[in-house]
Amino acid sequence: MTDTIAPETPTQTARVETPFRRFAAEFFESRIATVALCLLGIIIVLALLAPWITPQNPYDLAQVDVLDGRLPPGSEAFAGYTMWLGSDGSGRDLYSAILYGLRISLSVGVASGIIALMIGMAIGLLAAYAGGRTETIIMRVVDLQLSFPAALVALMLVAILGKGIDKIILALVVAQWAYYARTVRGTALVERNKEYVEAAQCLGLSRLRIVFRHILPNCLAPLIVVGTVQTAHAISLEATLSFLGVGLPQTEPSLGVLIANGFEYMLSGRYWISVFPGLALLLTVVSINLVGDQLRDVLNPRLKK
Amino acid sequence: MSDVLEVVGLRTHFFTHAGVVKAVDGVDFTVRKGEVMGLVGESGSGKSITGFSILGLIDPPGRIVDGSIRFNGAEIASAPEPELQKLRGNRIAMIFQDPMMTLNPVLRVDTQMIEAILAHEDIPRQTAWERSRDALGLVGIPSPEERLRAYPHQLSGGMRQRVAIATAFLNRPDLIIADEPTTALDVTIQAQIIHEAQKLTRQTGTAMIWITHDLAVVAGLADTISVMYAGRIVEQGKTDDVIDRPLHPYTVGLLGSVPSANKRGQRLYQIEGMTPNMLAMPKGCAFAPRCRAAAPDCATAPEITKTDGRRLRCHHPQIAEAAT
Repeated sequence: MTDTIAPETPTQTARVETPFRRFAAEFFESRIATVALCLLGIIIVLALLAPWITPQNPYDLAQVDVLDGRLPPGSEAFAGYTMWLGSDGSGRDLYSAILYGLRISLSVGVASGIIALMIGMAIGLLAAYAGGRTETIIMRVVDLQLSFPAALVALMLVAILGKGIDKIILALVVAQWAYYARTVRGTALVERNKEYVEAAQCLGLSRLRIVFRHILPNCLAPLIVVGTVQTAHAISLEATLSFLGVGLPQTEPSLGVLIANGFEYMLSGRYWISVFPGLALLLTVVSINLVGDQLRDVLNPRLKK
Repeated sequence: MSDVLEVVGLRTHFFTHAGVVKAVDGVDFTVRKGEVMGLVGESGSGKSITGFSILGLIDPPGRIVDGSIRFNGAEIASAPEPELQKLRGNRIAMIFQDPMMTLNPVLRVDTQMIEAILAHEDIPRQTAWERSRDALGLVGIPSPEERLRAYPHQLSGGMRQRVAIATAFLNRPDLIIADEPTTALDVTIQAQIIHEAQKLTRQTGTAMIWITHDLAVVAGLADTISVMYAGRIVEQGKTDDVIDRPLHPYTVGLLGSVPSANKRGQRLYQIEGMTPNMLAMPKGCAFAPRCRAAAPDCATAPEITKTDGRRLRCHHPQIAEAAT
């Protein structure tokens, strides 16, 4: 009998094909996605290392000299270093300000994304698991929330709550949890009717265990995709709020604040104050979205060739 | 031998918008320790619903409306959910038809097997792991340590069904309900799986209900056979009796439609028509519209009659023409 079974042993090859390895191989098939992922990696590393690789701390007012204001790219600052990307109206070195701004933008995006994901996941699972009236009520609230533009919800909330990173994150979570809830509920409903759930019931596992250990891991693929895209969305939403002046304060410039600062100089030829932070924002959001698109293609079996 | 399971007058109905579907409508049988019962019938005859009724896993709009299910002497048809949960996977285990679907694709085999043990017993993980490994060895899986680390997609269909069988036997249950466990497998693997299952029931004294539409599978495996049609048992008896001297025209038809060597070149027998619409059951005998032996008295539903250890639900038992 061993003879018939011998050819069925994929694990005899040197490298075990885990789902992750297969997934990684498929992901890197697309050159654009690979480039986007590298770019995103570079952006994240630059943002993380900002205090060590920038000549100026834009939050430290002692290091910011108003006399350096509005210098074009390549000028020399009063303190002696070269401002490769120029400076803004208050004399902040744009290169330094962009990296510090990226830190804020990325952490706001990721933090609100993770919190919204947790909340949305719990609510969506509850809806799918409870069914009946609970599900109807939850899903109508989700529909209601999604019928408002996210920017409008966030704008109203920030206007009420006031400025500050924590308030921005709260507003973004409120604006976005519903996307996650809807995604999780949809996938969980599909997974709930699969046979492995029935099999798990027949093993005598508790319902909570089945929901969290068996159904949830199978819902993760679409959640990862939505999470990536929504994080990019959160970053641009935060920039929008800051640009409109209701987001982060002037003393903690995020990319949106920097773009807003340069906006008034655009017509006088001092393009760099808005354009460079804008480019940084663009590259960040586009690379996250490209990674998200590729994740969707790889993780969704229906789109596979 | 003691009775492990005794089902009396089981009725499971589904209350749909279109009407009441009597999926199981008065089913009686007993399964003794170490015995294999073949539950045979076409698709939609209610054999799987019977299995799920025993486990208490009938989802709304379905409900067990009547009857008793006695498991090891205790009534479980009306038992509360927590009690049933303790039985499931522990005293009564289930094996499903499609091994591709019944293992969770994102969890490794060891995770799923250990979980099945720890759900019912408070033992160290290591012990549970060892027991899982031994169980895989028992169903003829080579190098079980490696297989335990595998994900379901790395195993072939036959291998997965072995894992499912090993999982079913993990907690040494008293009863295993196997719902067409070999239908999705090719014939050689099918034979091996039947062999493993038979060996394990003999070794452990576990009783088994083997649900299938294939009389040929059950003929060599089961001790007794119950033939179901449209939610009712139409014929019941020892395997040899039922196979050699089928009495119900439906059983005769089923046996006649199994290909065999001594009918080479002839057309296979075919039972005319389709299973009846469960919402509009024929009055009287449900099989009458398709039956060759149908007569005017078939307009009244036949009762179960009992003769020499065999039970039959028919006005016109077929006797002489067993080998049509």
